Amino acid sequence: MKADSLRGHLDALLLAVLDGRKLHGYAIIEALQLRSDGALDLPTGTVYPALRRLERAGFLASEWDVVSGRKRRTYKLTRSGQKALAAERAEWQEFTSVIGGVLGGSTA
Amino acid sequence: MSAIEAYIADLDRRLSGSAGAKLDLLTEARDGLIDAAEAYREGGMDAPESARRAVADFGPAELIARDYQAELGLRRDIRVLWELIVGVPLLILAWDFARMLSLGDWSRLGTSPPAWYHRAIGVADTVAALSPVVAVAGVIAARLLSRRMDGPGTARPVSLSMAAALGLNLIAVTLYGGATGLLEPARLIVSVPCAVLSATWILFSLRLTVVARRHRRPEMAIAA
Repeated sequence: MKADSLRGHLDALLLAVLDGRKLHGYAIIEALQLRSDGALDLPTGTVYPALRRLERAGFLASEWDVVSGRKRRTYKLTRSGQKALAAERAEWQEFTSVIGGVLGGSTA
Repeated sequence: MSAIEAYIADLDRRLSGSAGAKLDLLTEARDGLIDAAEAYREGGMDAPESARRAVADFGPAELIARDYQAELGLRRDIRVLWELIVGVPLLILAWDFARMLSLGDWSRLGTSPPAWYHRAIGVADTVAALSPVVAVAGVIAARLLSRRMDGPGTARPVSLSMAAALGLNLIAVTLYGGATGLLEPARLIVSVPCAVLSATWILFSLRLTVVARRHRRPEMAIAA
């Protein structure tokens, strides 16, 4: 899946990956690739500024932690981030239900 | 120099902003590149090729620099906005408090100033009060727009609100000083504490103007 198709969904994907856990930048990228079976094809360098933007938006909180013996900036969801993720999930389910109903539905 | 260090140096050259903020962003980028290269090495790739693959995955420096530059610009603008939110009301209150303690009532300076002076100071008071209000709006805009738009999309309106808040503060300082100097230059130094606070306000305004203008060359930095 190409970067252009992902751009509008990147924020939701990042929030989903961080749901219930604290991860550093590369671990977030790995989780994105793992969950998509490697189908997500976006320049990994775009993830870091997006994380900072989500932090400024109040959806993420970050701190420098020592992970695997190295100092890394780690991110976690805030309460606002959890609410935003819930809203994104509800919106996505509604979207897929409506579009799926039309595209995959009967000919009636 | 490894492909990773060459890439970070290239990104560094393309970015313009405070040294601390740049270091923070570039450190995280380097960490990510090292992690990616390590993952490739664990998969059996040799070190130079791992580094090259990690850099290729990261994206072209000219593309990545655009988002990083927006981030740097936003950080600077938000910092200037916060300084205006805190600094301007504090200076106004401190100046008036110092005037009450060191001079007392304005009537002690002699005859009442003409009506034009009262109007000019009234306008200056309003403009000075508007500066932190606009700055608060800018900080709120930065937070809300960051939820809907990418970095460059958020940076422009925040930068405009920062310019407006800073401009209002400069107009207020100019009006206070200009009107008072025109009326009677001696009134500019009604007391030593007031003169010190006036000078502090002028220096504060000039410093913020310099900070706001410094590194404001994202197009050049990205095109380089």
